[in-house]
Amino acid sequence: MIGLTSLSAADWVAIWLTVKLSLVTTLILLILAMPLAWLLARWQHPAKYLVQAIIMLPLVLPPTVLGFYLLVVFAPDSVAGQLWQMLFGSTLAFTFSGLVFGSVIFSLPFAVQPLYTGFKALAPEYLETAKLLGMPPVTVVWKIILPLLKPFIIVAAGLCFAHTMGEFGVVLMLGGSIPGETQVLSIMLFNHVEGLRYTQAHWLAFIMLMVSLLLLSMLFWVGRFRRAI
Amino acid sequence: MNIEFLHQKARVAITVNLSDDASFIGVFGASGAGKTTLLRCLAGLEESALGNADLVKINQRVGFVPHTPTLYPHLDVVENIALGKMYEKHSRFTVSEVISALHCEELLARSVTTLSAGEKQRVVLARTILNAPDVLLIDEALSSLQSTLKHKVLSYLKQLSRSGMKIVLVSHNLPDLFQCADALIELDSGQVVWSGEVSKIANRPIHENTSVDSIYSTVRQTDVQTGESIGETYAAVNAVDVILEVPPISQSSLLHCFHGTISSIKKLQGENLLVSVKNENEIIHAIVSTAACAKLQLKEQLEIAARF
Repeated sequence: MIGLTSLSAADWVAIWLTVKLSLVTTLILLILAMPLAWLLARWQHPAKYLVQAIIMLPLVLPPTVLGFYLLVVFAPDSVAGQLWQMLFGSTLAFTFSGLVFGSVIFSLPFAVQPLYTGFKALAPEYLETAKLLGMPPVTVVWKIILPLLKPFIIVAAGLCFAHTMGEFGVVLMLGGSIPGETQVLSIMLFNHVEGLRYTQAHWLAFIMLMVSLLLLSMLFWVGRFRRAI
Repeated sequence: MNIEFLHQKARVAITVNLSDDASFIGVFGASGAGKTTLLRCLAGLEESALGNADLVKINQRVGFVPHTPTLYPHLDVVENIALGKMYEKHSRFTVSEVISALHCEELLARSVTTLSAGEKQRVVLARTILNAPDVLLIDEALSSLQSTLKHKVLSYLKQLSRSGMKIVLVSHNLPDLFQCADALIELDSGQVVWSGEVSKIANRPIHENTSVDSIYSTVRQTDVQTGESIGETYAAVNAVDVILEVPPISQSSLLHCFHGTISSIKKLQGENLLVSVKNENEIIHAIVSTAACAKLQLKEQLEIAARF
């Protein structure tokens, strides 16, 4: 464990910030993606494909492009920027809340896609039966929809967490490298490499590699249960 | 009783007039005839359907047992059944009563995913009955049941319909419907082609494409000694099982012999002919080959005996 002690306080701050960012992003995404995926799964209109494409854009766009547009749209002199300032009391750039916003958009496809597949796989008969049995709509959500979608929710949450943890481009564009505010693991790693501090760089890279590997293994294991729906 | 539905997407236009006394209605017809759509319309599950039915009155509760059993995989068998009572506290049924009537006892400890299709159907039926619906709609849900068990379930359903639950049962198997239905509806290509009491099944229009297996007539049971009808007991006879005999006729079995004159001879699929024999009250259909018809020199108005 000699290596771990070589991590500085700033490294630990970055680790904690990354975990916090990933957790907050995942939570927001699950709340946001659930109704969005449900609507998409039920919606039958040619415009659906355009909306789906927009949601999936972060998959193919370089994160720097996304970060650039967010900077432009939320520039302090723009309407969106002013609105953001009214709501959060600061600019979007160089703040943790801005980073969360960027991460939410960046990881949106990872939340929507598994949940969309889940809602598509959910046989309408399950909901019809619940309705005919006299189950109130809120109970249908808690007792039927959420338990049936559990494997898909876990996959969505795992992917969002892992993907947010590993983001670099968006953070670089939006957040820069402010310790405790926007300096996340990937940025820290980049700084270490630039400063030729290879032991610390190795450890940070190793931590990210192991966490990602563990998370993905868990998701594949959960994937087995998707058939049960 | 009036049932009227128009479903644009499924191209189903159903209008039926049946006696209000019919508390058990059987629906039959070829695949794609609109049977499931009719049930879904009755259950209020088809949003694009226009129409109404006095079968289901306002505020009445409907139970629907779909063809594919919908058991929740995240709940066990007992929890699935219990859902029926959870949201209908005033249900007149008890869990144990329904479970024993449908012979589900041995299924309770099993996992939902290990149940066979027939077992799942019984569990879904138990849950739906426990919910005490005013109208119970069953879509081919007894098709995977083993024969003895099916008859037990059918008699239980008949008992339920006598105690006030209206039942609509869709089935490919006409004898199942004869066992319990008061009235029948035949659908074809989204239209009602015939509806009426079970005892009038022989009046149903038969055309060239009618499946030979589905042609039935009902004949009133006759007394062995006198040859007179016994009450309202009918025997449903498949036209395939009817044998025609031209006089002079041996008096071997009065019970199963029907005397009349040939009212019509129609061509059916293949080399088959449908010969309808009529007396004062009843009609019996028989299927004979064209060769047999020629040999017996069958023609309309000929006096004949039908055995089954």
